[in-house]
Amino acid sequence: MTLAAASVIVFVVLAILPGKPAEVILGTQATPSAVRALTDKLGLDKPIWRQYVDWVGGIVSGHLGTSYISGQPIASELGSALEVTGPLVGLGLLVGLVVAVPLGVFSAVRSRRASGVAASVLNQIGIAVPSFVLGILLIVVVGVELHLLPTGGFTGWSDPTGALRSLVLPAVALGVVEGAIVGRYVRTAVLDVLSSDYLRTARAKGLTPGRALVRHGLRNVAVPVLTVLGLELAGLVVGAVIIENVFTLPGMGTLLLQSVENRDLIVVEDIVLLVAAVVLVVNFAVDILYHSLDPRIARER
Amino acid sequence: MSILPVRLDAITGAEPVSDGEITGEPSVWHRWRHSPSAVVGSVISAAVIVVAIVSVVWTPYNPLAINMAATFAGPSAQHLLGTDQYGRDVLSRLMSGTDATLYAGVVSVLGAAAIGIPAGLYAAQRGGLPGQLVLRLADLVYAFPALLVAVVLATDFGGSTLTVMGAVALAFVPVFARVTRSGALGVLSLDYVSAARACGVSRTRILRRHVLPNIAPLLITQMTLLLSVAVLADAALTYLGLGAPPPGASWGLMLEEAQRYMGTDPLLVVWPAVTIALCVLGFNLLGDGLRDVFDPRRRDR
Repeated sequence: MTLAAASVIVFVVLAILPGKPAEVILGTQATPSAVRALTDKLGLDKPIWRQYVDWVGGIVSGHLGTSYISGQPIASELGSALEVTGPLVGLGLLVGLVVAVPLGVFSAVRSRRASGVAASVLNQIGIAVPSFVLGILLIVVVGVELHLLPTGGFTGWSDPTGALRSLVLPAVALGVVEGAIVGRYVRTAVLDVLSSDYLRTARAKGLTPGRALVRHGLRNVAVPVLTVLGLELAGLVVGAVIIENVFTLPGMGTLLLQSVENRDLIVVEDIVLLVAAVVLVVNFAVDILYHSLDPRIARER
Repeated sequence: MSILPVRLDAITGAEPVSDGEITGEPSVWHRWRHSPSAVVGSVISAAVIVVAIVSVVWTPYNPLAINMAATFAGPSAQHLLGTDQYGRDVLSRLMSGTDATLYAGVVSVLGAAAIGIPAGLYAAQRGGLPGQLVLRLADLVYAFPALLVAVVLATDFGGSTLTVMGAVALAFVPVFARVTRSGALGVLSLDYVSAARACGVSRTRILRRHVLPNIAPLLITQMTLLLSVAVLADAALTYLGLGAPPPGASWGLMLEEAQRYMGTDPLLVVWPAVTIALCVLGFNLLGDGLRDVFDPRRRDR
């Protein structure tokens, strides 16, 4: 329902563009008849509602349309872009978890000591550095100064090691920042658990602080953290768009910005709708997950 | 489905602000001094604001003045942070970028507040179908992250400061609507509001006299936190070429240009990176600190 409304908005806003795609494609030298012929071919002379129905019908049946510029079917262009973006987001999520959980738990458990405060400060700084800035800094230090890893471009999955190597820096840039954000929630959740009665009971019956936290605490920490993590997934997808441009990876984000520049409307429409759909679906899934993980919430309502 | 960094539950049942200090409660000033986040955050934020104001009337050099005789000059007494590829003074450009960033950030946050707060109040007051409608609409807008909105706007109108401000503002509207609604619902359920309603006080008057003053601290905290997000978004969007075009001095643009010359002068990347991080950190800490100050029950969590 919301998704349908979203598709209408995307389409209408992009269809009322000032520049006519046919004119942009053919350049300023184009004759009026050539422009008319191309407009005809692209189906842009039909009424707007008809174009919308064609577009949505195509998406539902799996035909995303043909790029105005390259003449390639968008599905295949998007497919090869997702081969880069998908693994990038996955790796980013992994890096984020590896950062968030230890950082959050550590700064909560040691919250009254210098080391815990230091971890919190580090965490705050991690949130303040945008992922694309971290990416550029990584390029400068690891790529340009140390020559350890590739700083841009993508060789394709036919060479798995090479492909993974070019995804390492982008994934770190993406994951560390998201991890820092999630880490704050982990910290809050662990602090909540640490001050809970059941943990005190667990300690009273003789468990060490560490064992009590692992056996009784972490499962309760998982509820809020999982939901935040789900929502951060949407953030990762958006972040990937930016990071791909930093590292010149041929993914969805690069395709999106190229299409904006070329006025390749239909590609922009497809990608914007795809990302919006991902955000909506993830939010919905998180909502459901939240209720099923924590029955107390269902009861409160 | 709240990913808002504010604990909304904390404000339900909050004491009315107009009551002033309750005996035995430490004063706001006292709480401010004892919150490291608040102290550090206000110092950094104040410094950023002062730099922005100063840069309107004075910068060491004209931030746009090209001097091809002194390109890539390292830090020196004449140019404290050196010069860039056109011999422009980096410090002057950073200062003038502070002004641009703050202006864009403040405008987008206030713009979003001007739409989001009334919408949230309306949803809280009405409930029922109209209230639900506002909430659904907020969800719909929420599915479009600022980046996507900026992409669409830039396809239509080209990149500009206005594009960035519009995109960021639109992305913040649902945040304000949700925070306002949850906060207002909490206040509206209080006994003295029911009493006021029973006395025949009008809806608008209740909202203005009772609800708004009580949720003002919450909203101010939210504004500060969103300001840091706006700074971040502004830098990212300008970096991607969706914001103000060259040769203007903005942090995102400086990063984009510096990345092209990082083989020659890696320091050029470092300055804007540090500036962005410091600015985001400052507003973030200030927001956290304000939360500590306004809502003492949340301290130590």
